Amino acid sequence: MEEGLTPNKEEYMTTFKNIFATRWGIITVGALVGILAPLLQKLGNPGNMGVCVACFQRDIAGALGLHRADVVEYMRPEIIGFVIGSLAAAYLFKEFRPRAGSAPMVRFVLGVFAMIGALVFLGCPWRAWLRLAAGDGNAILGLLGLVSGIWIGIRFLKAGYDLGRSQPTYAAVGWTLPLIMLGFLVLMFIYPQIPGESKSGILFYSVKSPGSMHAPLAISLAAGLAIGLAAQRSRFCTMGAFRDLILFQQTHLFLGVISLAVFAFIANLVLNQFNPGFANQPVAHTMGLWNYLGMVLAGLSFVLAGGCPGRQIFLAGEGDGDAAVFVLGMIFGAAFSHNFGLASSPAGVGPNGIAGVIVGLVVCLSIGFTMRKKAA
Amino acid sequence: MADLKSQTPTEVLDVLGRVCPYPLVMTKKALEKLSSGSLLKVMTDAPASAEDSIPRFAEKQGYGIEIVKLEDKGYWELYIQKS
Repeated sequence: MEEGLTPNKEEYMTTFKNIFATRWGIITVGALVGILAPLLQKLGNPGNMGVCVACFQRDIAGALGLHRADVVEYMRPEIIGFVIGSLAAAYLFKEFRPRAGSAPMVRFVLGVFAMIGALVFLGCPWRAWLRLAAGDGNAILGLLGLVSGIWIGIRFLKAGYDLGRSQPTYAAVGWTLPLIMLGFLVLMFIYPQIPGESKSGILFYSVKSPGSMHAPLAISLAAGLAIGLAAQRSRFCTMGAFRDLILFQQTHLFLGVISLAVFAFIANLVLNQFNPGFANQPVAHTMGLWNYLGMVLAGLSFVLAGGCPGRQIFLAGEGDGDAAVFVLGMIFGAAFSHNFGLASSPAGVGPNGIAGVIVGLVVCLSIGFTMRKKAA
Repeated sequence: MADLKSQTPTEVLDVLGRVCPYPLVMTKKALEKLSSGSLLKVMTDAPASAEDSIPRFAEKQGYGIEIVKLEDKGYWELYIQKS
């Protein structure tokens, strides 16, 4: 290259950043998730659950013993990778911005009910698309519920719903969740899974599916890191996709989600993982109304908190302490779901799942109605 | 295009400390209230809003936009001219 044409480091960063922010950039990130998820399933992750932010956080809650549903206990390395990958991208591109203080308690509650809703449906928006791309027709009502919940949330945004400003804070605040995740990874090395054993040291490990089903640790971690890096740069968000489409008529994030679904569909066809139908789908039930309403609750919670579960993790990785509180809320929500009989199973909704959704909708609607700033 | 950042803005919108989607929601509302030709200055520290969502919205609307990144202060100033 001629002298003078060599871009300096700053220009390289700008070019790289722009690639991810472009239309083809977000499509590429969607394709990355859409291809990696079926591959992770092929390598051991549960059916139609190559990647599921909610399910994997639920498994982490189980690994820690916060709930004792022995079929969903595993310290999912993908989630650890998401946080660390996002942190790395944020530092690399000078976007690590430690901040906190925007109604953290409310965000915790929203995280709890987002998880309760997701576990009534049995999946976050990422998994809803992956389920659909694998032929699970039950995902259709889940996705309709997600859009309905987002639509309700947008009404609140238009009416002035606002959780207030965050404040710049110590770098240590932004590092808290990444350090917790690194601690979880260290625990996996100190207390590795022992075949046939349900506990290794302080960590719980499922010995039967789906918690027992997982890709090799290194591959899961590498996939998580790659997705974390790419998603932080592109602002990939499965809730924002619909919110921006409805609120601003912007298709940018939506293209990423469609790309995820299309590439996952192709990957499932190639890997012989496409099985169309409603009954006997992996880790799914056929109670349509509750598939729908569970995701209404989840979608509403995501809008009120400002992002889907994945986006909240990526925000937490770039220093957003409030998003980290939402993530912790989801992990605790998973514990509540299984301890209180709220989570569904392939047999249908849990004994208290319907009550959980109703209470969640009442709480989230109350948050939406009571936290509005009047227009000036 | 005229140098927007050197002009006196019609209105200044401070959305520091707010993350997506609030900066764009508030920018959109502020622009709706302004008359054609007005200049809106937006201060934001949310990278996704400063570099992606607000510029994308402004360009789609056909509004002029200039983005100034203030590295030392840790935020961006966006100058949007409604047309």
